Amino acid sequence: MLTIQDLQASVNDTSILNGVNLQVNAGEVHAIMGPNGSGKSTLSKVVAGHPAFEVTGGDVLFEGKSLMDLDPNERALAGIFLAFQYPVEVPGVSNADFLRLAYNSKQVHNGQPEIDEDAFSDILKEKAKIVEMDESFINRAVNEGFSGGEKKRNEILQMAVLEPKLAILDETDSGLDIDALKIVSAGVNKLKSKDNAVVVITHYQRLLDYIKPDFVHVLAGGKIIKSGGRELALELEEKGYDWLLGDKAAVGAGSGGQ
Amino acid sequence: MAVITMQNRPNKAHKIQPAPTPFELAVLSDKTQMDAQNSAITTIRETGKSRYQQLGFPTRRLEAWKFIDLKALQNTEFLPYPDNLATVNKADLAPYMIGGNTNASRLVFVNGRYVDSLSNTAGIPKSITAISLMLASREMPTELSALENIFDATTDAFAALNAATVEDGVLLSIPQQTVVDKPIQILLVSTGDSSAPRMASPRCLVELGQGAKAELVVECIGLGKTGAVQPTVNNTVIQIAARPEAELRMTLIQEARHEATAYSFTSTEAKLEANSCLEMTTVALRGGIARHNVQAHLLEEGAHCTLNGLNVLNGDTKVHHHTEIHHLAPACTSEQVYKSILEDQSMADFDGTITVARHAQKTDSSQMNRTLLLSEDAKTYTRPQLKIDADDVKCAHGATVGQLEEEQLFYLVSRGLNPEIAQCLLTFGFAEDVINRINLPLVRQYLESRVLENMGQSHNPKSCYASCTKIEKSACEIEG
Repeated sequence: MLTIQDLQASVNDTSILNGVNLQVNAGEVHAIMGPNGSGKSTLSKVVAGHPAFEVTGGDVLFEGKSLMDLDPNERALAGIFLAFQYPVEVPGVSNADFLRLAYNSKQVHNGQPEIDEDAFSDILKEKAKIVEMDESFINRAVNEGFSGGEKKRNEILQMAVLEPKLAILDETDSGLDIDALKIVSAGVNKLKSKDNAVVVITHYQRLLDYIKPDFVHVLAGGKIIKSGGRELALELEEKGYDWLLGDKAAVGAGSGGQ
Repeated sequence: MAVITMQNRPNKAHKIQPAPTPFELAVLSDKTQMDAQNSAITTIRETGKSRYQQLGFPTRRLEAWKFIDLKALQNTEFLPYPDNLATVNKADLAPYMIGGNTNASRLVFVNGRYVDSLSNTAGIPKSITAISLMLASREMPTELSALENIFDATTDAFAALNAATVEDGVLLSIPQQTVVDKPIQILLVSTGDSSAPRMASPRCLVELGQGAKAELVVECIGLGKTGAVQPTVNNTVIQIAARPEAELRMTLIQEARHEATAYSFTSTEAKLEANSCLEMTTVALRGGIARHNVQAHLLEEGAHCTLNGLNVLNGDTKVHHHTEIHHLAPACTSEQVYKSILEDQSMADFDGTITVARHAQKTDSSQMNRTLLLSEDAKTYTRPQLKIDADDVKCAHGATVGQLEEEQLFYLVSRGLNPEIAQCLLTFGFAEDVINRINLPLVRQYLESRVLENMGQSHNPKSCYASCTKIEKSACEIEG
């Protein structure tokens, strides 16, 4: 489904990704871990098409087609969804209006009829149950005044509405308490199927107790330096990253945040 | 750089009174014969005239008038509207029906004078006084004068000029513990004229008794009748007295559709007593040169004032906001959010001051001015200011000027919205953020439609968002 080939990317002339290779197939869950500043968030934003990052080499293929010529909205319509590490507040734009426009954009793209406010309201209420989100959030401005946990739930709500083929969750567990973590994870698990794929970026093994990965990758210095099964995450939890990094000097190229 | 020497430095002590301008000569001459019985109005006029003579015409040397160009106005002889210029009918007012309801409570003034046939007072509870100033001056001069006397001599020259030239207006008095849950609309319409430059000076006095609650929508509208090719001035004063625990929510909308140059001045002064509350939103839409002066006095403990503002401007519209919030007692609160969306060559100016008196401890005040520039030719000035004499206060202020935020835009397009729709959403959302702070859904919806009407074609969210039921195919076609 997603093929990343020798991907290199930079921001403001600082090279952050230095040749990432990754293959994600339908039905799989991948976890990407790694020290702060290793390029994890950059990788997710490059796949989603954030304009601040320049791809300087390599390619990203989605269902066999290069994403490089597609705008961010076209990538979304193709079926890629990024759950943001820091969901953006959009004052004055209601969640319901925003999501209906997003949903209808997808409907139009797929040659399906658009749906009206009432019909969408029903869909939204149904989906809000998946992340146990109070209906009052639906009509509030997008993420405005939401707590950290509410913002992350809102990301998964959007994922539930848009039903992407590939979901990339960028540190969706950060800032969540145990209960919220369970709710969000359960939401992701409900949305998982043999036809879609999930890439989870996280610092903590804990999330992977709830969203169980088929593959775990370690990203460091803008490269994937180790891949393995679920047991790799446990090993990292126990030993940290030092044993993997050795004397590699390239660690710390990314920004670690926005 | 000019060198200031003793010879050419302006000497304030020996300031020579400038000769009256054509503007002053015209507006201050007594062309209108006042009814002899209207002694209360006559007093207002005399007080106003002498106050104006003390203040003089505002020059650009005054900080509060720095960016407003009134040269053309000063050289124009504006005359009062003649009696027989009744050219407004109900159809002209159709766009201004809140919720499309023609039976809603409404007081209509055309060119500064009350027009009963266009108004609708049937829905206003009988206990409320809602009468024209002319009538109030005849029937309740003592009450009218008492209300006028609550307010200090104005510091605003155009407010003084309004008093000096007032012909009519409204006296709205809501008795104590009376709650009016439906909005009362005051439409101040000006038509312009083909034969001469005209000036209207409506004056609105609003009093809320202890614990009274009301919602007002005041609109200063230039109707833009075809053929009315002469410049106009709409010079309005609104005075608000809120007794303890009273609450007034007020939306002031100003818009000029005149063919010729339209000046609009509004001056709102509020006196707020203990635990009373004023929530006012000033909305400036297209057309002309406008100046909105709002002065709120938090007189007693626990008074609150929200002054919000929204400019949605295009063409060469210029709008100036001058606000003063005076914290004169302990534990009063105030907040201010002024936002501008500027297209074409439009200009917005925000000059807002918060003062905190020495004994006004535990003041909590915030002020924010945000501007969205959608064109390279649009311009904005912003001067948020704090003057604090107390030491135990919480005051915050700030300003931002810029384009749409990249991160917001990316967030929306990353969900599949095409960039044009995302931009429309964000632009309208920028305005909606102010509209959403208004209490009554009915007023919010009305304002939304008025704002959308004013957004230029290039950023027209109407086609992609506003109709709210359906994305129009034309705006939604996925390119590429």
